[in-house]
Amino acid sequence: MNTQPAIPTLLVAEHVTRHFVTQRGLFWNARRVVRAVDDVSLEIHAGETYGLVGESGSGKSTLGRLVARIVSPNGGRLHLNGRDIAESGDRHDYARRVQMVFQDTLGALNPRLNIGRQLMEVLDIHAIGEHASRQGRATDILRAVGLGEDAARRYPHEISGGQRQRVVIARALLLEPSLIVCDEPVSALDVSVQAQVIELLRELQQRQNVAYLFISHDLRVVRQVSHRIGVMYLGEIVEQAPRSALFAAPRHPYTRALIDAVPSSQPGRRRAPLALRGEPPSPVEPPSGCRFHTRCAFALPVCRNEAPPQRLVGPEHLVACHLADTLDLAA
Amino acid sequence: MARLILTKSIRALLTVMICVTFVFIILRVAGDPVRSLLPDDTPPAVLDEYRERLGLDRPLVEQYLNYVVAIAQGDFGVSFTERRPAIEVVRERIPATLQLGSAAMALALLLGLPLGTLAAFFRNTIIDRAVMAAAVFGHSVPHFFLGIVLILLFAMEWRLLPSSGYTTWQHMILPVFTLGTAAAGTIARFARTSMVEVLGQPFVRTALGKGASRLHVITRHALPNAAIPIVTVIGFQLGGLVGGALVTETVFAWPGVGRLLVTAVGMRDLAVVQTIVLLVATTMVGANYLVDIAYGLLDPRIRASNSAGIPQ
Amino acid sequence: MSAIMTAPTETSEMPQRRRVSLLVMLAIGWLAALLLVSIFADILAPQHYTQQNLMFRLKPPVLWGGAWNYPLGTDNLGRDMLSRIIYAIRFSMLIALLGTMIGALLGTALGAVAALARGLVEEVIMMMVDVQAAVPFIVLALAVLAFFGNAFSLVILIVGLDGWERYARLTRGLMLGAKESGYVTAIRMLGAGSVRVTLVHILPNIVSALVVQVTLNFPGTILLETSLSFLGLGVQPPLTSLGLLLGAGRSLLINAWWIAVLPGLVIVLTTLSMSLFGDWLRDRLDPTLAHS
Repeated sequence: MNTQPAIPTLLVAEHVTRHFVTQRGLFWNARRVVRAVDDVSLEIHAGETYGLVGESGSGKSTLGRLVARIVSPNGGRLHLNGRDIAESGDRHDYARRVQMVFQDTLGALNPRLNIGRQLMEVLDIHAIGEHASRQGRATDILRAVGLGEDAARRYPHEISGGQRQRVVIARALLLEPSLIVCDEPVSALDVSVQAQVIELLRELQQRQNVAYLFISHDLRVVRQVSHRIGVMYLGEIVEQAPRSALFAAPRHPYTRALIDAVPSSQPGRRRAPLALRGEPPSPVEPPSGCRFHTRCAFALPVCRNEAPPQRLVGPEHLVACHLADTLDLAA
Repeated sequence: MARLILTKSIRALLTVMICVTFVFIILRVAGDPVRSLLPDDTPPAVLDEYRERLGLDRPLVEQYLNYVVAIAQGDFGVSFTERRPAIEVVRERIPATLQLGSAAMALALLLGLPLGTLAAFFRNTIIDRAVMAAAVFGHSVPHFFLGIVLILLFAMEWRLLPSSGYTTWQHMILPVFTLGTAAAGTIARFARTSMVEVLGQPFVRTALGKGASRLHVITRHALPNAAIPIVTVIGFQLGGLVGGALVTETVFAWPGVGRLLVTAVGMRDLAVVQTIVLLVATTMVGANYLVDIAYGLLDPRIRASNSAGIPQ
Repeated sequence: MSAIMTAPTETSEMPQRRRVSLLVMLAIGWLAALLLVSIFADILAPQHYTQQNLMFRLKPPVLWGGAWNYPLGTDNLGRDMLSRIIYAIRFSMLIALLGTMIGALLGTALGAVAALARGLVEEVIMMMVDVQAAVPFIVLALAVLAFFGNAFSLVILIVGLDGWERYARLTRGLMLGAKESGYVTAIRMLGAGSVRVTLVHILPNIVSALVVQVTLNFPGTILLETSLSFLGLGVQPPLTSLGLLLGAGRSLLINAWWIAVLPGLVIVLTTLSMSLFGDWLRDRLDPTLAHS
């Protein structure tokens, strides 16, 4: 592993923070701050898939939107190819570098335009190729994602969920971005269709060397596609590791619990599954210190008082836990 | 809840102020306000006094403030047709309009609510169709036409009722009916829709299943829930009644504020016009405000969403 | 409210089964007839609407004892009621249509501005909308007419402004919903600018709702013009309109009921037809819009 040539780093997030303020009423109290993403740092290499996993409220979607530049960070910075994305031209330019694939495919497509026109519109916006050749390009990309030519004439509601997801992926690929943020791309699909779409994503990655930020709450799916995985809890990344290391030797109790919660992902396991205590706290008032301490079976007083720093515990393996060295969470 | 009342109060006040400003602006744009608001033969000394009082040579902001103060004190100028303060002229006509309006609203409710409920209960039968057809019809016939036809039939052809005047209770029948029918139609439609929705809900079927009588179900369960949209509709209909009163009073020579407005506009008696416009505006805003508050009281969901402040 | 529309389906579960075809057909037929009459008034009307025939005053319509040369009777100056009504239809339709266009365009534009600009601009516009919604329009209309006179163009403008606030509110609501919608976010992500987003993506999806709003407003617009003219404060002689005819006929009710009643019938049929047509159109275009 050490002799591999260094893979260029595509995206770097440095201490990125994003909060939302909700306001109820004119004067009274009730200015509440939701710290959706709090001091998150990660790296994505070119051509690889970084899986971001967490429960709802963990902030993973917000992080995705930050990378896609749909929202901007309140703190910290994001760099793409070394340049701060906030200064990388306008939306128009950035669109050619980072694209996004959504969970709600029906919502992501204009119900009144047929597929072909929606694909061609992307080409029109960016003036790609000659006008006459755009229809051909659209057909090509449809074929590349496994759809026939006649799909171009259909309307979004006339095709299945799996086909729509392919269309959305095709649309994202038209601009040949170097990174695609996939926010729960397969969560709304049947399991058999999920497998097809995941396979498609893998193929496209190999062919076009596109990187993915793959966001999902489903650990099984994340396991299938990711090279490296980040686990988020209440706005923070609690553990990051290459896939095999994460599943073989997780170092954070939350990761362990997530893995254990997936039925039959660990046939013949030796230890009792680690259960989580209590309900996920509200992102508006996160617990003090280590945010996970209220549900952690191993919590100590230090966990309540101090937020644990991210520590390197293996090759590309980072954990934020006071007890990382003492706990044995291996399967 | 307190927050709701506060926000609504502020909005109501702002709305009234905007109306006042609007009138102020058109008053200034349309010409010399002093000449507009006072009779032609007012002695120049009085004109000058008014000019000074309204501060017409002062900066616009000061004029505006003076105007607002004058309005607040009830000084709307002098009606040049009757040579009396406009506010008095208008005030005298209010009882007649109130009489007509409240009777019409009462008629609309008495006709509309039961008929709408009936239609809901017997939905998709001939009763339903008949009631709804009548409602649409009542809604589409303009007040003035209905009034004229009624006069033609009842006053002229059959000589049953008087066509105009204000003295006896018989004088009220035709105008009230004219004014109230359109509102009755709309209320009936709304009541039906609202009732149909409520009656379709599971808790009603449960009650019926437990053996409650239909009447009991309607009055104890369905009506309170259907009340909310009905209250809204009543609020809307108030505006319609005002507009309808204008025409109805004219058709029946009913001595109310509506007819006064029409004649004042015809005579360009701007003092009276201004008074009525502001009076109507304030009344309507006040009525909407009350409806909003009532709404907030009736619908616990609105109360909850205002105070809990659950972040999204 | 999401502007995403599902494919139009014929739901058979409507709470109020429309007696459909025949009535709606009649309504559409009547409206079409009105349109034709308005356009071809000069050819259809036997006489000019101001032409007086003093020898034939107050003749009743043909079924009530009159002659065929004046099928709908004459008025107190011997003017042919058929011609008067035909031209009155033209004037009333002209005012209603022009007025509606003005109101719809203005209201929609303001609503769009409010949705796009947000902030203070939006607050101001919405406050104006609230004011307009609070006060019965006819009162404001009368006030303006009192202060500024009854020029024909002013009448059109005022009649047009009736209900602008409904377009504004509707457009703003729909555009706000569309802005947050998935496909707008997506297409923005793909680099589309505001102009393209508004024109290509948002507007076409809200047009049908606006069309429905036009049909909802139209009866009120007609009624406003007729009311104003009836009161003598709208269209002025020598021009004519349905409301004016009605108003003029009021004093002659005992002797010549047809002068008032016939124009009135036209008005009633028109508003009824418009209501029926509007309901039907709404059901066809988007069953999710609430019945008002």
